[in-house]
Amino acid sequence: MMKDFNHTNPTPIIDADLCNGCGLCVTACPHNALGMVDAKAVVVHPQACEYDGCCELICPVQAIDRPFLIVMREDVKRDG
Amino acid sequence: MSHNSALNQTIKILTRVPYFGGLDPEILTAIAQVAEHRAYDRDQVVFMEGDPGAGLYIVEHGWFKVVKISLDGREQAIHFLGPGEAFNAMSVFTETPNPATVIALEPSTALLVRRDAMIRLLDAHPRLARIMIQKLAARVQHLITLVEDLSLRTVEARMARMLLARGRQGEDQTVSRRRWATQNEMAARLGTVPDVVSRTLRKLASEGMIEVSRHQIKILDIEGLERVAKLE
Repeated sequence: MMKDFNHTNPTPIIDADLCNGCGLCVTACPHNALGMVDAKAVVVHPQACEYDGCCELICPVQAIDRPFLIVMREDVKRDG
Repeated sequence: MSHNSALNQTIKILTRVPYFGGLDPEILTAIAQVAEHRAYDRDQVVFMEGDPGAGLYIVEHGWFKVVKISLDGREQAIHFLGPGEAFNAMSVFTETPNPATVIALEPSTALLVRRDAMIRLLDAHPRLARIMIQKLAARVQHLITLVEDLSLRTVEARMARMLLARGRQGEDQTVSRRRWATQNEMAARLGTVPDVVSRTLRKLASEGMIEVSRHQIKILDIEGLERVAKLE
């Protein structure tokens, strides 16, 4: 699932095999970033996505997942 | 001691029991009349874990210890009971066996309100039944909250450890591929569900240890996370 992931401007990953086309995520997204394509949910407007996770939360089949990158703040990295 | 003053003494003990708080004097008197006085020597067993529960006990004088006996026979004290404290209340309402063994730590006395006597009182006094239901419901709510807090706290410690480990991995210049983790992956790793992961991240962020900004979880306070990581 992660191989096509945009590491620079990430959007939620939707597993097309799991997606049942219910459209709840499209309705739930407050930024209209999602749409239905061939009866499957797709991030149609990635630039509108705010990564707030409404789609992930509402999906009844857990088809949506948001990857997170864990980093250290520059000035608190330990020396040595 | 005359019968009346003994009864008054019993009523006085009963009023200290949270289950009986707010009861009318008439009902307290009815309970006092069926309560049995029990005396125990030091180290005497009141009842054994697994035996059928006799009823509700209230410590009158002295101290008792509540223990669990492990399979290899070792005794572990889980609680101590002093004057005014009630125990084994659940055996009044259910037919479950005693959850633990209770032993007198010193010469002690207790009141016993037997299960069948309590059931007759509940049938005769609806207000008693109502109050006991309220108290039990409050206790259930308290235990639910406690379980949730304990679960969240354990997840919090494990999450802190995971965040530190992943954050430090990113610092290693020999690892060219940076590590991403979805909420589902984090949940599986932490032995919980994504909703709890989300709540835990929010809690850590509200305490200033991390900052969640879109797809990035930035560690702000290493020492703070290390302290949380040890809380398990």
